[in-house]
Amino acid sequence: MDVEQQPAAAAAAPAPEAEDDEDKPTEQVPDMAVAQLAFVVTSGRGTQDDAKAAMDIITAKNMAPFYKALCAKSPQHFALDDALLQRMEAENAKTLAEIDAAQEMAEKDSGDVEVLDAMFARAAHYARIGDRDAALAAHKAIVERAKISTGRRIDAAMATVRVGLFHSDMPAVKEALASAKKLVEAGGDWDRRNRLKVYEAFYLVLARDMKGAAALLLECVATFTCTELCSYEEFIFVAVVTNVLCLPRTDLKKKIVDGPEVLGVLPSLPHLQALVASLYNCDYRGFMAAMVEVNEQLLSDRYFAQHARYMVKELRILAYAQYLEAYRSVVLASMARAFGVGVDFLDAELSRFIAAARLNAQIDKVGGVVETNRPDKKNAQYQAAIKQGDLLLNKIQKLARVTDV
Amino acid sequence: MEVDKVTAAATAAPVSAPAADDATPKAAAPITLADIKRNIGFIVRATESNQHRLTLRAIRNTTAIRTRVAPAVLKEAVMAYVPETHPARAQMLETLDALPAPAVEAAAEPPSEAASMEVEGEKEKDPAAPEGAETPEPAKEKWEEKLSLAAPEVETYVCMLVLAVVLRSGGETGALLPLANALLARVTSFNRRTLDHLASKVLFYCSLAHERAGRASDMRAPLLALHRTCCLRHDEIGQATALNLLLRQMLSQNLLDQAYKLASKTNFPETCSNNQFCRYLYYMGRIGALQLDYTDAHAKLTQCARKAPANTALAFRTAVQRLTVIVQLLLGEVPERAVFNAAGMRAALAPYLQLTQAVRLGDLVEFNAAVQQNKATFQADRTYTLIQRLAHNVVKAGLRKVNVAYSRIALADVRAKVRLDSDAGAEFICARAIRDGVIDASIEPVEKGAGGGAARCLRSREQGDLYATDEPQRAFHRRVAFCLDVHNGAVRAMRYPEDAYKRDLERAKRKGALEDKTEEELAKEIAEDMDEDGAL
Repeated sequence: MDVEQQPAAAAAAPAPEAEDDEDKPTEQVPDMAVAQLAFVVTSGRGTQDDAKAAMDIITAKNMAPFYKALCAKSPQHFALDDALLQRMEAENAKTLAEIDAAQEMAEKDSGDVEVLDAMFARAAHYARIGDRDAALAAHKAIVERAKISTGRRIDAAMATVRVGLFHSDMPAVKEALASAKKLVEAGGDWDRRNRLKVYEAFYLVLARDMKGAAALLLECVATFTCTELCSYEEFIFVAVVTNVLCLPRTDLKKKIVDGPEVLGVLPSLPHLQALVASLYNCDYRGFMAAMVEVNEQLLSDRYFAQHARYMVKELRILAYAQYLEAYRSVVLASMARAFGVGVDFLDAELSRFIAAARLNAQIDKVGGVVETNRPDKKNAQYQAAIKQGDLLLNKIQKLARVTDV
Repeated sequence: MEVDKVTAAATAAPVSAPAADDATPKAAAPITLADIKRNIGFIVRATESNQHRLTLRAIRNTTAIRTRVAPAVLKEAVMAYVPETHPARAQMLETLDALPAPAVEAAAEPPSEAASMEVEGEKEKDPAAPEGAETPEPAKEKWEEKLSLAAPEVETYVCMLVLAVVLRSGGETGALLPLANALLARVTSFNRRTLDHLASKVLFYCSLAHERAGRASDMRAPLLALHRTCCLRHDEIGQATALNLLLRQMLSQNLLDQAYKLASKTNFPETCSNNQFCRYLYYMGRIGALQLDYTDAHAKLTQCARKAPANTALAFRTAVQRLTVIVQLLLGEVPERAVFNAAGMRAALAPYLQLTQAVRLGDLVEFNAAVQQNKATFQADRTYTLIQRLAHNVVKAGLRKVNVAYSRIALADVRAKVRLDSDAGAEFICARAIRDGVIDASIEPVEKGAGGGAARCLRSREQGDLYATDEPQRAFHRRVAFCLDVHNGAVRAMRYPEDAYKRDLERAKRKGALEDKTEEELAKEIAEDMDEDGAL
């Protein structure tokens, strides 16, 4: 696998915070930080500083279309400043005119490479100022252009994915990912391949496929170079949160708790570190406390925000299942003590999850005892066979209609 | 009735789905007499060779004509193919004259690629067949002769077209009734098996005309009489159509008992038409659900959903799905989430999703809110009666959850969980649920040996091993039976060209001779071989 061959360069020198991207030589296009800041502010969780930081980036990059859309979406957080908008639009028009001139000249005097450069510049400009439709169209023009090296074609396809992710435009991301994957399959180098994995993982997080995302992210932990999408810390946050949920305990120990790359960054994410450590060490009280904090973080992350409830629920189920695994029966009160919650709360939680067949247990409310039982594999298989068989039969029936014609 | 909008679409066979290729020039071509003529060619051949499938093909090809034909063209057809002795000829022409010329709808269902390709394929197969529009001059007389032999069929076909087009154009349907009745009377006066499919279409449109005019009950007596006649004549498609129309009418007028009795006293010919069978299943599912026979209704509806056309008849499929969801809920099952996300049905099923979630949570308060909020929708869908029955199921669902989650729980806690009014009420409801088999549990005093006044609790029985019972056997048997049905249907549907077996026979003979030879040789060789062995 090509992942192993790559030096852990990124791990050794984690990228700085995304917010001070302007200082870096390579610029994030489009700037994911502003999308995150705007999300935090519009969801009502941001501070004055966040709003100001967002506005700073918007002004610095002349993101007129993005600004306009943002003001239209939540006028209570971002009041439209007409003068500013006009100034930015004028700037954008100027930049665009420069790009136009460059492209015209390149088409007249220079070769394909220069024309392509101009096209990339145009696409990047649209992406930078947050003009989604124009950016998607400009990138599409590059991808569909004849006479272009595979590498650059993939670059354009990947940039399309970024534009989609920037605007949280799921259909666009899905489509762009599919085309980028096809291109990479046809002849991409390992670097682009690994970057694309991260892109896909972020998309899967948005689509609530945590398992798929976790596997992809885990593959990329050692080879992360994808600073154009997120900082290494953000990446590790996403990777750890998804993997805590999906990895079995033994793998969790090997890959996350003891993983060198993760260990390097985890201290800067104290709540997450506490969450992982307490789950692994069966400190459920600490786990519940850490989860409250992580929940806050999830809610203010634009990828996780709409899945925060789901994530926290799944994490709780995980902890309950792990706790019950060790017991034949346990007094409800003692379990409540271990988790640092009230008996009534725990009772409500357990009964809900047991009824949904997520936990293998039963509660004896009169005796105040939780009794665990082993999952019934044979019956589960039987149910699965019936269910999937019915789906198959439906399809057969559809085919059989041919005979009625 | 919810099937209203769909019936037309459901009539069209699945192959002629409104294809998306209306950009092709063929799609925009106006319907001419030649198109009608081609279909008449099919009908003539069908009559001549007594092959129903050709009639069916003509009916299938009719969808495009029906939706786009201009009254003038149709008038020409009437002039050409309906004999002057026909009692309703003048009336038809008059009605057609009164129709406004339709605006050209470019997007209106274009003739699907598949259908037209099929026709071409047919041409290649037997070029000798008269192809209507392309009849060469020398064959003309022969064609006329054949046409005269199939006169009732052709006439009925044109009449059916007229009815369909006039009905489609909307307008005053009341004025159409005399014409519809006259046509129906004329059609039923024939007794020809080759006419059955066309006659059933006329019957369908006639009944639809009555329904649109708000005089559906006028049709009941004639329909019943027709159904009897069709039974006597072994006219299966006629039986099926008449029965479905009757059921539809009775259900739309809430004559549930009558519909139930009618259905239980009649046999539905299942094999004659998939679409009619589909409708019948839906009506039976509806009757079953209203008659509290949920298991049967569920089976019928699932089968119906399986048999329904895949691409067309969206409203019909949605209606089936709605009913299925409710019947499933009444059965105490929770439908799959994916059901509500099916393409095109999402918006229509949203209120039912809300309902399902309330039932799943066993939350009576939320359930009532959902019902109140969507009352108008449910009434329009005619599912409100069934939904009102669901209220009990909400409590049952809550109880079932409690039963699964708790091995022992005090009745006071049950009351709090299911949000009932009193402990005594909780006890009664639990007792009833146990008796109904909703939950597998027993009620006993908390402390052994305590008096009758002591607190009681609900004890769940251990969940038995389902696999140890014969339930899996029965479940698998049902599915195997279904597969065998499909297989038998496929075998029955195979068609063999006439006299093909003779050719096969000859070929087999020749081949057989060849093989005999080689076998002889083989035997010889073996014998020689053995001889040699023996010599050694």
